[in-house]
Amino acid sequence: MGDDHVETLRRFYEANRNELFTYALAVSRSREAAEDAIHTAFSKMLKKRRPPRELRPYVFRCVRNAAIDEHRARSREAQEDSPFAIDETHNNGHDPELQRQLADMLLTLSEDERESIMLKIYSGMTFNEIAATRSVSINTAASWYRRGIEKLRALMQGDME
Amino acid sequence: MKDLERELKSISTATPHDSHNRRMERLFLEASHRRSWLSKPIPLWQGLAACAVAVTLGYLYRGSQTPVPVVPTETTRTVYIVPASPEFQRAMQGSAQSRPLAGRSGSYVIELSPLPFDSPSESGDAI
Repeated sequence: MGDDHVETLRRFYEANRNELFTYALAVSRSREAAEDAIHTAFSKMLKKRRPPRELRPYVFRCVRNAAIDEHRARSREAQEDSPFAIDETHNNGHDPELQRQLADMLLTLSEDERESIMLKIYSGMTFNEIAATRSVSINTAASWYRRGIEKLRALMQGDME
Repeated sequence: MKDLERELKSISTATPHDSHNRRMERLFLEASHRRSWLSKPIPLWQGLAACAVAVTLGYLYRGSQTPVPVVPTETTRTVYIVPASPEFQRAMQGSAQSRPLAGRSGSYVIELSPLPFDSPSESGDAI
């Protein structure tokens, strides 16, 4: 039973390491803090006897909590790291300048809006999972997301005009 | 909305350092070792052997700590007071050295009174 728990978490980490890192980085805004948060969260989860029923929201919630703690602990340090890595050469036909603008705009949204967009788009979560991760209702999670997207659209249109 | 979502999805995200991945691998490895050691089933014979060793050690320790009480051996001492003639005294002293009294394996001593006893019927003392 114990080995199964470790193996389950290890496999989950292997499959979601980039998503977890991006989310932790979006919360903490520091690469080191994000890495430490993931390590701390998994250390704590590995000490538990058995995995929770809904692993995905649970792990993301643990990482989020640890990232908030790390962010608070490093509040005096400069925390300007972006969760995005815009590649000028491999952009699959997308405009890197537009991508950079979108990334910057995303960081201007409120925490709830930004996090719901990060979880939906970059972690592939459903609204149900986002709601479980943030311990809110599905409607709240969905409205954060829609409001964030609307704001981004408005910002984009304002930028173009 | 879909276009914007597609555009957002196209943005590459940052990836963790290799050192972080190695650190996480170490974490899972340590957790796996710790779990496997703690959850290892103990065979019956090992449990019984551990019990036997514990009982033996406990017995030896208790034995070394508690002084063994010296139980005084119960001895009965029978005193025969008989008016002895010189011949009888000689006979008794001889038999004391040669064989046990009345078939008993205990040692005995014959004390000869310096004063001759009167006959019990005359003195009236019965000890």
